[in-house]
Amino acid sequence: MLLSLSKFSLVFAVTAALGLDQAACGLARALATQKKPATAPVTGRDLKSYYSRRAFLGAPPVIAHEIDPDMQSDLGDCLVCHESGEGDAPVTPHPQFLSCRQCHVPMNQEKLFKDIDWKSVSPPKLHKRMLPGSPPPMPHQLRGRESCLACHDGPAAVREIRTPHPERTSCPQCHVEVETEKAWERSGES
Amino acid sequence: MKKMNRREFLKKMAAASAVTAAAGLSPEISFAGWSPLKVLPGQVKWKKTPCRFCGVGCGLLVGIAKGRAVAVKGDPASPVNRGLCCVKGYHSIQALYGKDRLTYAWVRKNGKLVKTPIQEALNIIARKMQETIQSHGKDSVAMYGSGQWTIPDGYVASKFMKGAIGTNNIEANARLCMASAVTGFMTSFGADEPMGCYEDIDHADVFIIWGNNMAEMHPVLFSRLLEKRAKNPNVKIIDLSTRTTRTSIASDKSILFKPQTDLAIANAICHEIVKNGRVNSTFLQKHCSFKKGKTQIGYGLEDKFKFQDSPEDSSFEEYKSFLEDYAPEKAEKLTGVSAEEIRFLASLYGDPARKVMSLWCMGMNQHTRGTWVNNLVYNIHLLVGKISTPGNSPFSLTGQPSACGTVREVGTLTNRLPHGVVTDEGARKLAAEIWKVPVERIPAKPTFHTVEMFRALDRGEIRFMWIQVSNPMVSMPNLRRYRDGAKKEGRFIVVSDVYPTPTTDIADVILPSAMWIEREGMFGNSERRTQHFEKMIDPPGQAMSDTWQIIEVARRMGFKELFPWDEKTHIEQIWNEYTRFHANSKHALASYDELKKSTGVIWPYVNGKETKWRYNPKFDPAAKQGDGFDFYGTTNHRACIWLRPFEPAAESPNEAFPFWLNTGRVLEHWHTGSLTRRIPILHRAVPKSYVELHPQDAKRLGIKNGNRVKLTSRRGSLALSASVNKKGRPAEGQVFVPFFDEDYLINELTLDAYCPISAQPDYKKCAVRVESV
Ligand code: SF4
Repeated sequence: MLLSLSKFSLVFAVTAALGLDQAACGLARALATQKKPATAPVTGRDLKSYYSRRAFLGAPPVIAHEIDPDMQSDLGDCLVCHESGEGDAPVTPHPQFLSCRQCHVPMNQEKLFKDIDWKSVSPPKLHKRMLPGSPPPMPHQLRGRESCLACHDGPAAVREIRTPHPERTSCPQCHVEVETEKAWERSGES
Repeated sequence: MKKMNRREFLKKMAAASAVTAAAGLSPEISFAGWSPLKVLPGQVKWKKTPCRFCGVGCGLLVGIAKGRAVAVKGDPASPVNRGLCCVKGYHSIQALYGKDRLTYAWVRKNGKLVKTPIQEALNIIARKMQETIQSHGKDSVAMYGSGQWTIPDGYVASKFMKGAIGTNNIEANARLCMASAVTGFMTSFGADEPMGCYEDIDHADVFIIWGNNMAEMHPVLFSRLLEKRAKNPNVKIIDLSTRTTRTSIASDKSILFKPQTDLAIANAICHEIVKNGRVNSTFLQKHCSFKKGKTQIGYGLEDKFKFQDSPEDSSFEEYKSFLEDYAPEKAEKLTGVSAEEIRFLASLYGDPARKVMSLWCMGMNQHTRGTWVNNLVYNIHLLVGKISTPGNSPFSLTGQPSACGTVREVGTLTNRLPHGVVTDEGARKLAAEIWKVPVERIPAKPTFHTVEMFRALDRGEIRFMWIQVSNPMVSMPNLRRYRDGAKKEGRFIVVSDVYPTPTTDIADVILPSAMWIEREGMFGNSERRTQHFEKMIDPPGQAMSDTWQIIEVARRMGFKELFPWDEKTHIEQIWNEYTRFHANSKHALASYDELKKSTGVIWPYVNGKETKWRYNPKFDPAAKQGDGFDFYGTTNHRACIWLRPFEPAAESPNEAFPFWLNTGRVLEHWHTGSLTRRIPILHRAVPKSYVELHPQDAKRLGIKNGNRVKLTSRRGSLALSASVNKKGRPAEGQVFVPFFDEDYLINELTLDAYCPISAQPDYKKCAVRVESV
C-alpha cells in the first residue's frame, strides 16, 4: 500500500525541510490566504498537533487544511493523498472507508456558537512499559486503526510515536491493546 | 478514465499547494483541545447506547470517567453500524456540555422570565392546566412532543393526555417527518413500519434512492451501501433526486426529476414493467389486490380542512388502463426524466436476477401527495414480487432516533393509542383496561394534527401547550403565523428543553430537561430495532427527564394512581406496562432485561427470535404457513396496489415567484441545530445557513459565492449568502436552504400545505423570488 520508501523520503525531505508540518492536499489558492510564520524544520507531525485536531482520544480529526468545498471532494478524492502519504499527507489507517466526510469535516470558522465545558481523558503517557525493555502496550483501540504504520511510520508519522523497527510488520505480536487497568482477580466460587 | 484525470488533477493541486506551503504559508489550525481529566484511558468505563441523533440508530459506546462522558466509539457489536459512526455520533456527547445548558426552571412573571425552583414551576404548570381545562374544556390543553422523545416519555405523555385528562390533543414533530410513511404503510399493508431490515443491504444488488441525500442524512447506512459496492462491482446505486448532492456523485447514475413528479416516475416504471411482461403473476394473483381512492384531494391550506378518502376496489385491468397515462414518452415531458432512463429503472426493478432495495425519507414524505408516492413505490415492488425477502425491500428510512419507537409504536398522535386508533372501540377498551381508567374517558374522535393544532392555538381553541424535545418556532412551516399565534394574549406555553431556543423564547414556563444518557430510556430506529440506554451521568442542576416531569405534573393534578411508579425503577415498570399493548406475535417487544443486555432487538420478537422479514412465513411466526407470503395487516391478507395519479404541488413557480424553494438538513447538523451548533467541530464546519443556487442561475443573476441573496415567498423574505457548487447543486430554477440555523428562519417562507391523508406538510416545494442584494 505504501509507496516505495525511497520515493517517499524524497518528497518528504523536500517538504519537511521547508517547514511543512501537515497534509497539503488542499487546493493551492486556499492555502495562499493563510499566513503563519514557518516553524523550524520538523520531521512529520508532533503529538501536540495530532491531539489539537481531535476532540478526545480516538475522535476523528478535523480536516486541517482547506479543501475544495465542492460536493465531489469526497469518495476517493481524499485517498489520492491520504492513502499513501502523497505530499507528506498523514496516511489513513482505514482506507476501506470511502465516505470520508461522513467523519472528517473541514473547519471554516474558529469562533464557537456557544462556549462549551468540555473535558476528556489525558493523553496516555509514552513508553509505558510493564517491565524494563518490554514492548509498550497500545493505549488506544485498534478498531479503525488496523494499519499501525499509517501513524507510526512514514514521513507523516507522529514524531514521538514513530516506530524504530518498521520492518517488523506484525505489530500485535508484541503490542497489545489495554482493555482495563485492573489486574485480573479470580471470581472464585461462592 | 475520467476518474484518473481527476486523480491526476488533485495530485497536481496538492503538489502546487506544497509549493505554496513551502513559501512559509503552512496553515496552523489549532482545533479543539480539551481540559484533561486525570484519568488513564484504561480507567474509562464504556457503556452502550443508541446515538442521540438520526434514525439510523447507530450503537455507540460512551466512555464515562469521573461522572462525565469523555469519549465515544462505535459499538462493534451493533449490527446497525458495526463500529462505525458519523461525525455527529462521535461528538454527540459534547452536546451535553454547552455552557448555556438549562439547569433551572424559568417562569414568566410580569413579562420577564424569572429563575424558579423546578418544584414550584411544576406546581404552576399543573395549576395552569387545571384552570385552563375548567374554563375552556379538556380540548383546550395540548401536548406537542417529538420523535426524539424516548419510548417512556411518549408512553407517559399519551397516558397522561388520553387516559388521565381525556383529550386527544397530543401530537409530535414526527407528524412533520414520518406521517406519510405511516399512512403509506397503513394503506398498502395495513401495518406500519418496514417489512425488512438493514440486513437487506447485505443481500441487495441494486439500490434505488428516491429523493434522499443519504450520504449526508443517513451517513452510516450509506457507507454500508458503498462497502457493499466495493466488494461487488455488480452492485448499482441509482440516485433519483431533484438536486445533485454527494449521494448523486457517489452513485452509479444520478437521475434528476422535476419537483413533485416522482408520482409520475413511479407510475411510468410500473407501466414499463407491465408492458414488458415483467410482472410476477403468481405473486400478484396470490398476494395483491387493487384499489383506488379520491383524486384532486386538496392541500390543507384552509383552516379546519378535512379530508376522508373513500377507497374502492379496482382490478388489474383497470390498473393497466390507468397506467396508459404514464407511458415513458408522456412521463418524460412531465418529469424531465428521459423515456430511456425510465426504461432503465424499470429494467432494474423488473430483472428477475436482481435484488432491489428502494430507499427514501423526507423527499417522499414531506410531499403534499406523500401517502400516494409511498403507495406508488410499494406498487413497483409488489408488481415484481420483490418484497419481504432478504435484499428485496422497499425501505422507508426515518429521520429521528425514535420516530418509529416512540411516535409510531407508542402512537403519540391525536388519532392513535399505544395499540390501534382511537376510533376503534377495541383499541380504546384495551387502553382503558391496561391504564385502569373508564373507557369513556378516552375520546373516540381525533382532534388536531400538528399543523391544525398550531392553527387552533392561533385561533384560541387551544389555550395551553406543553412542548417537549422539539423546537417548533424554528421548524413549523409558514412559521410567522404560528409564532404570532403562540405569542397571543391568553396562551400559555410550557417548553421542556436542554438549551435556550427560539421556542423557549416564547415560553411562559421553561423546564430544564435531562438529556439522553443523563436518564434511562429506549429509542426505536428505522429497522424496528428497540435499543435501551441506562443513566450514565447525572443531569446538571435541577434538570429532570421529560418522563418524570410529566409524572410530577400528573400527580399534582390528582392522577397519582395512574403514575404510581418509583423514581428508581420507573422506566422498567413503564416498559412492562407498555409492552402489554403489543403482546402478540405481530408486534411483540423484547423484555426489559433482554434490552438491557443487547445492542437492540428487532420486533416482532417472538420466542427469543427477532423477525427480520415480516409477512414471510420463513421468517415471521405471525405469517400463516404455506407457500408465499401473508400480508396479515389487511383484512384480506393481501397487499394493496393503488391507482394514484400525478397531481401538481400546492404552489408552483410562476412569473412573480419563479424558483422552487427546497429545504432540508446537512450532515453536520441535527434538525434545528440546538444541539449540534454547540458541538465545536460541527459548528465550525457549517457555521451558518446559506442558499444553494445552480451556477447558471447564479450567473444570470450576477451572483457569486458568498454574495447576499434575498429570497421572497408569498409569506416572507430572508437574505442569506449564496453557495454555488458547494455541498449540493439544485437544478436550474430551484434553490435549496438548510433549516438548522435559528438566525435564518427559512420556515418563515415555506408553505403549510400538507398531504390530506397524512397531514404531513411539504417542506420541499414552494415558490420564491431570488434577488441579489
Ligand atoms: S448515522 Fe445517525 S445514528 Fe449513526 S452516528 Fe450518525 S447521526 Fe448517529
